[in-house]
This record gives sequence, C-alpha cells and structure tokens, in this order.
Amino acid sequence: MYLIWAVILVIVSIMCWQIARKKKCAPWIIWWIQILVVLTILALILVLVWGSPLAHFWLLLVLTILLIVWVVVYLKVCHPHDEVVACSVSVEAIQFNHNTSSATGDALTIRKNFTTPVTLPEWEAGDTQPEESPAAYAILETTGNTVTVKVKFSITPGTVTSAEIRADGGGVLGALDAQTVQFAGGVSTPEFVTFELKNHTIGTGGILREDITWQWKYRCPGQTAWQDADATRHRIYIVLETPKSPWDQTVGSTNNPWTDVLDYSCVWANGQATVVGAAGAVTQNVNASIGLTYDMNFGASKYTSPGNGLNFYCTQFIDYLDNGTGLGNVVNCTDCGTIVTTFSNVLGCDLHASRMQAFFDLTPIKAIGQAGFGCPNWGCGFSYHEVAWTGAGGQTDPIFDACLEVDGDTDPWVAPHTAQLPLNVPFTALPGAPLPIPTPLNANTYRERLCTNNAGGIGSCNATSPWPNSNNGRRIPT
Amino acid sequence: MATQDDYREAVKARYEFSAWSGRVKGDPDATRKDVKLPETPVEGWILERVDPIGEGGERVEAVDRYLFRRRETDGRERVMVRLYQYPTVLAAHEGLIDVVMTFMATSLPRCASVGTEAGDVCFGSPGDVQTGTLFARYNVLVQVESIGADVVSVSSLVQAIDALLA
Repeated sequence: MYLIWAVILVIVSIMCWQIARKKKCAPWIIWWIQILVVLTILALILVLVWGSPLAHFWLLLVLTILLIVWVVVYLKVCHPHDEVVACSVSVEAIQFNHNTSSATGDALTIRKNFTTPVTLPEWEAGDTQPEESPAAYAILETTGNTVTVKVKFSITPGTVTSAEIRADGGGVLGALDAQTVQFAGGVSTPEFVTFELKNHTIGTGGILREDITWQWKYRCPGQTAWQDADATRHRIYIVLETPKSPWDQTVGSTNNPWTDVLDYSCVWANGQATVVGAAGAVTQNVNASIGLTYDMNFGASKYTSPGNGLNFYCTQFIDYLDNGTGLGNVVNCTDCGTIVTTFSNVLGCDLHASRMQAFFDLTPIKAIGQAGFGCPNWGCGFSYHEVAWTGAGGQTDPIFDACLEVDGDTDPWVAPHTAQLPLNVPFTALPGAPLPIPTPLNANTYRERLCTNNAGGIGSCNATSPWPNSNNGRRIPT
Repeated sequence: MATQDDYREAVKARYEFSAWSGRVKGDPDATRKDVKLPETPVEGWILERVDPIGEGGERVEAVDRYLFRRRETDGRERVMVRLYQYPTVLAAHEGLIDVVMTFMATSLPRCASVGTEAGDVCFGSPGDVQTGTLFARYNVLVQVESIGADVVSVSSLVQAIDALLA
C-alpha cells in the first residue's frame, strides 16, 4: 500500500511541476515543487529498500501534506485559468476634482490665479512638476466621507482586457490599493476609473501644502510581479473648510481659490486645525514675516481699488510676495485687513474687513514694520481704522489686526509698552464703560488698548461697517 | 459719526473743502481729456507698466495706474501714479475728498506749507521728504506715491505731471 502511495506522490508531484513550469509561476513556487519531486522519489526508493512501515507512513504523510499545501498556494498565486500576457500600462490623466458641485468626496474647484484656470483633469501625461497638477481638499467636508480620484489609463498591446493597478506613496492622499482595471481598445473602461483614497490622512495634520508622488504599478494578466508604470507628482493643499467669500466654488469664476494664494496661506497656517488658529497664523505672518511697513505719511491703501472699494489687487500682492515688486511694501490698515481676510478665508475662515470710526485719538502703537511704539507722522490719531473682523463686525466681536500691535499690559496708556498683536481679541470687552477706564486694565480688549483713555479716543472709536462697495469687506481678488 | 455722509462732511471740514472747491488757477472752463502720461515723464524715470482701473467711483470717468521706476536703481526706487479723470473741475475736487476719505491720516498739510506746489489744490505728506502728493489740476486728480524699497521724493515727478496738465 505504501508503495502505491509513494508512486502516486511521485506522479502527482511531477505533474504539478510540469504545470507550474508551463504557467511561468514565480521561481519559488517552481523550486518548491522541484524539491517535492526529489523528495517523493527518495521516499519511493526508501519504501522499496527499507522495511519500517511506521516510518513509511509518517514520511509519506508529511510529503502528502506538503504537496497539498503547494497546490493550494499554487491556485492562489498562479491563477491556472489565466494566460500570462506581457503588457505595458501608462497613466494618461488624473482628475481630483471630478464633481464640481460638491467637495465631500473629491477636491475643491480651484484656479491658479486671476488669469489662469486649473484645467481638468488636473494631471495629464507630460506634466512633470507638482505645481502643474494642483488639488485642494477641505477637511470639514471630506471628514467621514469616501474620497476618490479618477484615473485614465492606456495599455499595450490593445488586445489586453485587464490589468491590476495600484499606486505607492501619495503623502497625505496615501497609497492607492490595487484594483483590476478593465480595458477596451487599449484604453481603460470606464475611461476614468475611480480609485478610493482609502489611506488618506486629510485632516490629521490640519492645514497643509504638500507635494506628493504616486508611483504607479501594474500587473498584467497572469503575472505575479508588479511592474513600475509612471510616477506622477501633484501639489496638494489641505484647508479647513470650503473657502469663504470672496472665494467661491462656481465653475469658471475668477473667485475660485487661487493656488497662488494657497501657496502662501497653507504654509503660513501649516498645521493649524481651527479657524482661529489659522487666522491667527495668517495675521502673524502678514504682520511680521513678509516685509510690509506702514504708510506713516498718509495711511493710504496701495492694494485696494479707489475708494477702498471692490477690488483687492491680489495679483500685484502675489507679485510682491514672489519677487518684492508688485505695488511695494508700504501698506495701510485697509490693505492689512484685506490681506488677512482674503488669505484666511481661502483656508475656510469667515472674516471680513470692517471699520472703526471716526477721528479718534491713539495711544502709542507699534505699526507694522516699525521698530517701536509711536504715532504716525501726521499725529496720534486715525480718521478710521480697518481690521479683519469676525461675526457681524459688532462691538464685541473679535478682530485680527496685522497692521499694528497694541500695548498689552495693565496700563496701555503709558510707557513702557508691551507689544501685543491683536489675534482674536474682542473689539471691546468694555462697551459703554465710563471713561476714563481705571487701571489696572486686565481685560482682553482691543479698542481700549488702541485709543487714548478719554472721549476723543475710546469714546470716538466705534465699530461701524465695511467700506461701501467693498463686497461687505470681502474684496474681490483681481 | 452715524453715516458715510457724516464722515464725508467731517473730512470736507478738516480739509477746508469750501475754501478751494471749484476754483482753478487758469481758465475756469478748461478741461483735460484722455490724459496719458509719457513713458519718461522725468529724465531717469521710466514707465514700468500702466493699468486701467475699471472702478473709481460714480463721479470718475477713468482711472489709470502708472508704475514708474528710476532707471539706475534696479527697481528699488519706484513710484505709483494714479490718474483720475473727471467730467468737471468740481467733480475732481469731490473726487479728491473721495480719496482723502480713504486715508487713515486725520489730515494732510497743503503742499505750499511743505515747500512744494502743484495743481489747483494740492496736499502733501508731513515731513521733509515728499513721499506722496495728491493734487487736482482742472478736472484731473493725480495721486503720486513712492512705493519702492527705497523711499524717494516724488516732487520732480509731480512737477512734471502738473506741467503736462497745466
């Protein structure tokens, strides 16, 4: 009986070896069965020349189990019904924003700047630099939802009808798990294949700008080894929420978020996870990191249209940020409030530039770009002041002011002065308080630290409204 | 100050609008049309670019923004000129109020008091160096500002532009 068992094992193992060789399985599968063939032949010889039935039983049992395991593994990795086909897969296009009416499952609608749109699909064969293929995602809208990209492939020869495809890397968007893509006539079908971003980390690191690379890989029918296809590079922006006015999501609008703006906002507010943190980071950078200085002679706006009106000359401002030209580095409060509003709202904040008025006296301030506390060259007063305001722009709504630092100590009306950049500070925490306000002043309040402690200062400085024709303080980027 | 109109009236009072509005130094009926600045208004200054600005308020007919730079300074000395053209002298003077309303400065000195003179009405910057000037000549309002990394006096450009309009 053991002899028959041994003979059967030899025959079966040799048949398996032949099949494996024909199927061009992975080398380790073939080595495994070759070793089994040798072992079964040796076992047959042992059965013929050695008389221990118990040893025969255990030896043949072990070999039988190894052969069964080999068959199971073979069936899993060698796909006996597939034919091995040589093919080559290429990535033709990738579309991140494939549903322009929603930002829950794909990228936002963006453009490069006022004159240049981002054309869809964002990546096409031939693009090599990440900035040629930008995409932006909103944390709030995508959280808890399935996020996908759509990818178009080609395959040669055109007769091949399927291939497995995946992508490694991907940074914040993560690797793309393998899936079988169908082809017809050498092109993927459907033309754009949906890949779910199952491994993305959108939201875990807050606001982000990251250049990512996907190394695409494919496996032709019957193949076991993955082969490299193209490596595609993309610039990914992560913002908190869908950008707020003046930015919009209307397809083709020049108010779609500009990547030229996101390139700065996402870096300034890198890692911030709240709108307050984001607006604060933008305000700090505008105040201290980009070389702006206050117009001490006029307090005149350079980057808004006449009348402090509808337009923010954002193209010129980007030009200033990029190469120091544009309309120069001398700004006023309207410029600062507009810059903070525009660059924060693209991240999902909801600020507007609004005014306090009128003709009020100042306690010494540290104006943007100035070395210390003092007053403008015309004297210690403002005809108006404009800041980035939250809420309805009311007396108690918090403000962000990149234009100046106030005295943050308990007596802001006398030296020495302790510089405090107003970040999310209530315009006033003491509305209607009798003047003069007694010291020590411990309240977190803006107006009282900006103005003189009397009727001509605090008493004349009140929240009013955005400038007329300024799109309610959300000037249009041009 | 309850309304924008109240604010405007307060600005007019501060700038003594009634003392100069509607008054010109030359022909009271003269106007200037389709004014364009030359590429080199003053020797050494060259035009960098000019942009028509489509928005300038209800009174203004056209606003052009000129950027000039001094040739030998590698772009460190730059001046922005905004040229507002109105249908009438009075509209230009109201336009001057529109502009100074947007300044945070509570008031500006008349040009004569800071050693310069231009236009029918002119306001300059406080201090010794004229880093900016706002003047109206007939129906044209001109705002000249130093915007380069190096602050410069704009007086020579102001004089040249005013001579072009006179």
